[in-house]
Amino acid sequence: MSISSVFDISQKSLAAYQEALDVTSNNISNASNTDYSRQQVVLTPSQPQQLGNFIFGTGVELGSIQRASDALTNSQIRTNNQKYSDNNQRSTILNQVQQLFSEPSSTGLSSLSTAFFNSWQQLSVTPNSTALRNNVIQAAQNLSSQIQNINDGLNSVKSDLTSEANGQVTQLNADIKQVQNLNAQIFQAQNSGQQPNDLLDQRDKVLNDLSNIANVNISFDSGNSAQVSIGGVFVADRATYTQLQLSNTNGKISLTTTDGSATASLNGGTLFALTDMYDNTIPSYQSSLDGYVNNLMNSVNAQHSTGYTINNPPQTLANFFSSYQSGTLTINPAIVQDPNKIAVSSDGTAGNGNIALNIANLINQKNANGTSLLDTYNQLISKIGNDTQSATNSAQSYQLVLKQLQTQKASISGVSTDEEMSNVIQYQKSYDASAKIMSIASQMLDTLIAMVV
Amino acid sequence: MRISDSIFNTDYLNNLNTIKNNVTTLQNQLATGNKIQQPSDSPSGTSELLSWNSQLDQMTTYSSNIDSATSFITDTTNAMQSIQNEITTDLTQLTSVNSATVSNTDLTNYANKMNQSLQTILDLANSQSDGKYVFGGTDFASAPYSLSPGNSSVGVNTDVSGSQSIRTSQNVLQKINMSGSEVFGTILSQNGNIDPTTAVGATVSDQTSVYDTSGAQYTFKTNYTKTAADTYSMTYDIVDGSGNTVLAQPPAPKSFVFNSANGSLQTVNGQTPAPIQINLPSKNIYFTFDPTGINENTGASSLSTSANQTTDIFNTLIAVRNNLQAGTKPTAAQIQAITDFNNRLLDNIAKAGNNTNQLSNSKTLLTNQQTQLQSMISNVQGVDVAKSVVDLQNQQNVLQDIYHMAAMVSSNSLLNYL
Repeated sequence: MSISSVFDISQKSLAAYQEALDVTSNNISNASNTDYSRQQVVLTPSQPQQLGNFIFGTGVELGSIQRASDALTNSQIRTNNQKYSDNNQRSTILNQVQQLFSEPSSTGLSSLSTAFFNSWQQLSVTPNSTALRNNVIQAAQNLSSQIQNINDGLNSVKSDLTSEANGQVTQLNADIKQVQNLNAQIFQAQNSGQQPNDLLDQRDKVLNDLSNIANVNISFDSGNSAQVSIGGVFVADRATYTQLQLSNTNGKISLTTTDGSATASLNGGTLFALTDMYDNTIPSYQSSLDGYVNNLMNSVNAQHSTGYTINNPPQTLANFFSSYQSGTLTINPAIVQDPNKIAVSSDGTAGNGNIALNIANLINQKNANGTSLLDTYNQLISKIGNDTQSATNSAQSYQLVLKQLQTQKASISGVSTDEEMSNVIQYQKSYDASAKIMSIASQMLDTLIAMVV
Repeated sequence: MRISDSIFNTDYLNNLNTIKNNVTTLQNQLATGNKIQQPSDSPSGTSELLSWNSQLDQMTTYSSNIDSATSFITDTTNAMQSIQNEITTDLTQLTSVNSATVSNTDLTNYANKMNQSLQTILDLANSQSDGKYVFGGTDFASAPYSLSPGNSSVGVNTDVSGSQSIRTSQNVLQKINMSGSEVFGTILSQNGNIDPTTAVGATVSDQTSVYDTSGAQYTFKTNYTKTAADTYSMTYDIVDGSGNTVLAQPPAPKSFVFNSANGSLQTVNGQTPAPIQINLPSKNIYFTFDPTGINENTGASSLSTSANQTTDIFNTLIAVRNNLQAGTKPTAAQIQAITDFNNRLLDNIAKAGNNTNQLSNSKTLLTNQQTQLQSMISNVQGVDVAKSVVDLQNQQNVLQDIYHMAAMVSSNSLLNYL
């Protein structure tokens, strides 16, 4: 061993600790980046040298830069992401939907329906009162207006869902393309002996994003390339990718490949919430609302058409509501124009309010199932409330699990500045010490040279 | 467990968010006084609220209807009391006419007084409440009673038999009017029995006298022809002294069905049995036929019909007035007829009083139910203010603590000591 080997060892040591400081510096820079996985420097002794009967160490070198990551935790995060995103999206939409019904308040359909039937009750006391007849029309108009508002609101929400779903599909396609691209880059880097830690972080982020949008199934091949399928449809690997689109068939939207050859079976992620709400949940609410309004209209008309107006001569067989179409409940225009055409008399006399009494009582009349008219509406509101509460509770529950998993991930992959600063001190000291050795070696060399000179 | 910077940060933000959500919820509840802001806050509570609020609104309407009805009945009672006052005065005067020696001039004066009284009673019979003729039944097309052009009789212009009812609760309907038929009209009440073994096609008949407003006599005939077990087709006719019908056309037969178990009249044309108003303006014949007293029980068929009066009070008074004008004192039968009307009127005033009491009781019941329902609503929807204030204070304290902790810990790292 010569003095020059001391220089070599010190030089290697300086280089190794400088690189270690580079990695630490990079970790510190990404301390606030939640998608970043901290990197750990693995220092290894360099190849020893044998001289005679002794083996001498030749210093230290950078063995590898390892990425602190746990594949199992990442996989669990992606699984919970799908459930959380689905329920969270539902909760958001259902909150919008329940606001449309304005319950429980005086502007809700329940109050307005009651007010409508109460107006008939009042009219039954003084059936020839024009003021009370106008009250009935006003109450019916208020009811009709709120029904239209709710229906318009539901249609508007559905329209927003389509826009949102289209945006999600655009994002999905961009992510799919990026996964394929990253797969290729990672493979190439690994083949050339590099550690593509940052690329792996990027791919994990994209895969996470994908799991927020839809139910993804991810597996990794021997080349560490992610093979991704969504709802049973293959979408990306290292070599190819498939783009998806939103298809609307018979008023229902679904996720298909752009060539239409396959349809994804969605059961998680925001896109599932959006399509399911569009296809099933909101139409079921609309159907229940339509059922309630049709029932109300038909019941009132059935009674009203048996009554007589107080015109001269009294008329009969007229409906109070003309129609309920496209979410609009229309009051018979002839009645709106002339309140005397409200037919509440059962015998044609102006003081007979028997039909008004019958109509007023419809609110409490039970059907064969023992359910009153208003009960069916209350059941709808209760269902919306339950659906919203259930989605919100599920979202909160999955969020808790997700937080724990993210904490677990952060515990493994997250950067601790304290830890990094400790490393900095450690590397700095090692660097200083190596430099000192080099300085001593230099002095030793100076001593030798002085002896010669 | 290894704690990274991001764990510290996300935990802090999550906790902060949770507390802020709690604070917002409590603030909203305190500001509105309501625990349930939207259905998802309590789906079952919302359903109960909607149902109870609807019931409460309905009760408010029933209560308001009771107020209107009470006002109507009060007006009706006042009109009947005024008529009763007039009738009492008339009876006093007629008694004094009969018990003293009076000149023809005095009789004419009495006749004038009777005429004025008739006018007053007629006006009262046509009185209105909230645009409704109080004795007009349900037909408000015109004033129910009017004098003929020669003041010789009082006719009925409209169907005064109608019944007005209001709903005082979900299941209770209450009649609120005293119809002209009940107060002034002639009511023929038919009672008796029809033998259930009567053969199909056989007819059970009855007849009684009816009078027009001038006192002319007619015969009212009723026939019950058996069509099936417990079922009869009822027809009627009114014939003059010569036996000729005075009806323009035969009335449509009515189907009477008796209860096979107890023999009571069950339905008339499929409806609950009720008195039938028979008006014949062309002959000035007006009366109410009440067949609800007949039964179908084992035993011989036997029907009888009786009238509460022969001529209504108006035409009785006109007859008295005409007698006085002609110098004739009122007959004992006429005075008895007026006395009978007075007694019936007192009964009707009592009935109206009962109606008022029933309405008053219903109102009290409604008020109690409303109070109870409001209490239930308050329990479900109302915020326990004291508890919420304490909770809010607690949450705000925790929020302050989180801020302090974050400020204390976040600012420190190893860097501070290097």
